[in-house]
Amino acid sequence: MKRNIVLFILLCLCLVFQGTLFQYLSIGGIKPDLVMLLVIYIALHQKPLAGLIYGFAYGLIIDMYMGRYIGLHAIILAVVALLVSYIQQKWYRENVILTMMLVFFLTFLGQLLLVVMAVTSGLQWSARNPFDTMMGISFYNCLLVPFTYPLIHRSFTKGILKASREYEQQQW
Amino acid sequence: MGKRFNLLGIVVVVFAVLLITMTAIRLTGMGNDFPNPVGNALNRILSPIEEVIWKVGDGIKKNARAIFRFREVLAENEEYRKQIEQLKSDNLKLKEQVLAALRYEELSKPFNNPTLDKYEKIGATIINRNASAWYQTIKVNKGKNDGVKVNDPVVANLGLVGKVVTVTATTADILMITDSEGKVGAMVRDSQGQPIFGVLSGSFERDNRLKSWGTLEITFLQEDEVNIGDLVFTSGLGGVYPKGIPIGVVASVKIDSSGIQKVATVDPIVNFDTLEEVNIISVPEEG
Repeated sequence: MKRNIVLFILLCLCLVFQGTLFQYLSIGGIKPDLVMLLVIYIALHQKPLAGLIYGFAYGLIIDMYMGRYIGLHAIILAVVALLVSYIQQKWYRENVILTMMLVFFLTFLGQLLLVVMAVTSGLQWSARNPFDTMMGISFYNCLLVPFTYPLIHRSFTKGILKASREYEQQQW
Repeated sequence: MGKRFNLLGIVVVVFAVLLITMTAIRLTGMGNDFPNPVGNALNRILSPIEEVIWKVGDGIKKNARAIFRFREVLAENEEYRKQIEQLKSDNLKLKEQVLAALRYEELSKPFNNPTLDKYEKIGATIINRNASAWYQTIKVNKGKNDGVKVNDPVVANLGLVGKVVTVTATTADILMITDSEGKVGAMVRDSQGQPIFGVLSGSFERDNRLKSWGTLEITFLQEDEVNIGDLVFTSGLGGVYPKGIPIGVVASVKIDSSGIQKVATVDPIVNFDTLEEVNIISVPEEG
């Protein structure tokens, strides 16, 4: 419970910072996808089913916060989280460089899915040249890993976000 | 047997979830007033925090510049002082012309366009911007309680900014015309004064990496007479925006790859990066 409250506060911070703080730190309109980063971090420490649920729920919250296209982020973050939580079972979670790679590729995949999903659901996006934006977001997310991941990882393994004991016992 | 059923079950569930979400995405698009209690609550809690961060950030941005580049700012001040003198004299000339124009307008009253003056405007401060790199939206601190409605047009100083797409009790999200979904019915006038209509839309393609928005484009037919420097206004077609709001100036014209159409890129009047306050135009409900 306490863990979920902390995670929810982190989500709120991500939502707030994305539109405020990172507006000042954006480079040519490119800013990180903080919520996707958070979901990747969470999924790195979950079983696949739990990761899927976290991804879907957090995506739904973002969609409601933004107030349109309910379900768009929910589906994408669910897929990303599911993938991450599968990969994490065979992954060196302590290694920052490897995590940076993982974040880069999965953010790119997530953004790609976002564009594909947006276009197939009939959103009027002019999808011309979204590659630069996708690359930019993925790269920015990847750059944030060294500053944020060690803290989050320690918190998940030792600190306030440490999972209940059953997780350690029955991994699937 | 059990395993196969499981797989089938999973496939069915995944398919159902996909279908439901895609339908939800379709149904809850822009300009939709669906009930969204979670979003309302989140916005109510988070918007004061955002407002504070935004203000602090703006303060730091402005002051840091003055401190670190004192000499430059000083020189700039000198430059501005000269410009003010220049502008003062220009202003006098313009005032004379305005008076003349007013007299002219008085004479040609039956032909007057509806202008923005007759609408009520609601001033609002920006508290959050582009919550995702894909959406070109701004959030402002006025909402349903202040009389803001979905689809209200939004202007700043002289130019068009966009329209309201979602409203909560205390905040409103504005889709800027730089978003590729923020399409605007636009109009330029050719040398005979005949209007040429087109649809202005933003794109993700960036001509200038310092700006956070992509190019604004209007597509015309090849025979349309559009030139660099032409002023672009809203056409009033499409129902959302009133006629005659200035949007920008045509910056370049090129034939598109099919050879049938002309694509004009537009430099907007509004600088979307430095926007701090906007006016929401309250268009009365029809009927």
